[in-house]
Amino acid sequence: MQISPKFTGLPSGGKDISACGISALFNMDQKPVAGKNIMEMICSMRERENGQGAGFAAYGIFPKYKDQYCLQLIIEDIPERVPTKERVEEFLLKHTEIVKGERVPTKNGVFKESPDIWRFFVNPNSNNGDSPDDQTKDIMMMINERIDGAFCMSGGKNMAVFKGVGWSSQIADFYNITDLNAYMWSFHSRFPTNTPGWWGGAHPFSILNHAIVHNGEITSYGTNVEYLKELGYVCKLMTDTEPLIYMFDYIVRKSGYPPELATQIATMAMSPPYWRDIERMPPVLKKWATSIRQTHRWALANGPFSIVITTDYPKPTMIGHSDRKKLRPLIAALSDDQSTFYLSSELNSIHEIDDTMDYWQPDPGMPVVATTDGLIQRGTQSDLEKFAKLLE
Amino acid sequence: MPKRIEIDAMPEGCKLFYRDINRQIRKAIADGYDHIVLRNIAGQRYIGAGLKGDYTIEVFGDAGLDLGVFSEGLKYIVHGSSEYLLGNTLNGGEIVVYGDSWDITGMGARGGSIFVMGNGGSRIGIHMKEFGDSRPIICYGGTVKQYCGEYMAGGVIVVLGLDFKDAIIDPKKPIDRDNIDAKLVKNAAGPIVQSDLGGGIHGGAIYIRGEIPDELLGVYAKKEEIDEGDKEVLEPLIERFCELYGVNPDFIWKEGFTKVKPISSRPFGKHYTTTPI
Repeated sequence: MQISPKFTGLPSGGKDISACGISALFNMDQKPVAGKNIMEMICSMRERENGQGAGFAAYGIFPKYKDQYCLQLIIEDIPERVPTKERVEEFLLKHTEIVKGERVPTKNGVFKESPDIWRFFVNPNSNNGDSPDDQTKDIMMMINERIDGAFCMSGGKNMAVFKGVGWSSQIADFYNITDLNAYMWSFHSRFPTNTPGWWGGAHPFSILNHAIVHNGEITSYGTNVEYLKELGYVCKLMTDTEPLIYMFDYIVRKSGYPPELATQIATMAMSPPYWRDIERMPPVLKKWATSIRQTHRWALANGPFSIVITTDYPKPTMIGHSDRKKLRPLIAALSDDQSTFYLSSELNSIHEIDDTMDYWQPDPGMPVVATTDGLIQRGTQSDLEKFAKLLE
Repeated sequence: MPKRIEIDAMPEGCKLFYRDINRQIRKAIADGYDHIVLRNIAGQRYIGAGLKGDYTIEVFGDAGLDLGVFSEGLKYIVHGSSEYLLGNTLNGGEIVVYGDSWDITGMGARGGSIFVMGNGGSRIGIHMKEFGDSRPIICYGGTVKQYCGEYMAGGVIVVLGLDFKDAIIDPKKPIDRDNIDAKLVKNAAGPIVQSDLGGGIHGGAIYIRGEIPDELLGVYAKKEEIDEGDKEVLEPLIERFCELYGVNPDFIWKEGFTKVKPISSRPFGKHYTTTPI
């Protein structure tokens, strides 16, 4: 995978002290919400970005092709080589049945130069015994690893990730966000600290139906990458957010936990309770917390982070999560009619579109989880008691 | 007679940048105004940063990070919530928030007082310090999370553990004293503080309303019951809190306080070299 420097941003002139911004919105009745809402949420936090990357994930946007995997790609031609799109198509035809391929509608004139954005709706060939999910995962990784000039942003069903280098308002404009209606959204505005801002390096990061936006940095990157290597995931995107979503995918989809426990286990593996707190837990919880720490010890994500994970596996779910010491901000809110769940870095971004008074800060290291069944965890210590009951 | 001026932070629907707001505040002060009302604030940072003098800044909306940072002698009133780092390195004056204010409130404050009606996050009053008559105060009406009073070297933190949620008469209006029905203020459900309370504390005191289990104490912090001297510290502070939010002081005093303080005046002494510097 290779993307030329012209699609990596250069440092902007008026540098301002800043941080990443995250916003997410989830209509738990699965009613479509206009893209304008999430755009207003993220754009109100202009101080949290520097124009070096932004992107969003949208769920429920392809009702016509909801049974096919939608591979959304950034494509750039490489001089003196076969056009990248043809190489991608050739690769896909070998491994999948392409139901439809189309250019993603983008607006001209937002950026001076921009790569081509394509999407393919595919059914993977079921010839080697792997599940379609596993095959699609491998196809995504192979495109990112082997096809120069192509980058696969997402490959889930009925969802897609849109991203690039620019201000969040530019990215929203470029991908015509106002034309999109989705029941679940996450949006990220980037302030790159350790790696260059490039089109593939913007958030959200996605694998299959999961997508993640992240504010912070993962200092355990090396350990996490080694762990994932054993499990068949290759980290090639030059960013510390990538392993988090692969670990989530592995624990939720591949580890064989019952679905109602899987998200809690995955989040607990990423920011587990301290040993001293485990000592004081009731017996069932103590046993499980110990096993989770031991089994997934390399999945521990160290360093400051607040993340929003969106997935529709096994059902539409939004998870807000933070590190154990709460070194990055995250505010959750619920609309007055209890139908819409919000997560954001700052409260004002939620109040930009909904003046609800039901907002709160989740406890450090405790996930706040909303599914189509409603808000099932508010991110407080008492969630652990509920978890213990489920385990029994 | 105070001279009052209103500044709209959202003129023609366009959100003002924080630098422009601060420029307008400084201009208003230079023009002789001493009561500045900011309307439609939506998360702008550094409001009233670095100001000094006897002025009042009233904020309607949700204030952003670092409200009142480095300021001295001003009175800030926020009718809404405030983001992180409220009163960062405060030198004096008073900040009153009619809402929540999350992490790192009053970081490194050296004076002044901060009153918050609602809940706080982690690391409230981290590195707060006192000298001579200058003694910073942080008072939370609601609950706070872990690492409250971390590395605290002076000053007072009070956590009352009250719940104002049902007491707001009209949530769609800006919250002030008249919009609070004090009779409906309850005690918060669940624990008031979380783990590592006063971790690394080496000065000052944290007062928590009610009992706290030992396991919540941080390193080098110990708890004890309050005595007459502590009551003298607490009484004026709670009186001011009740004046601001309309709560009956008897309701607050119905429950006792626990004091958290350092185990000695120099708890970390043995961790460093014994060579005199």
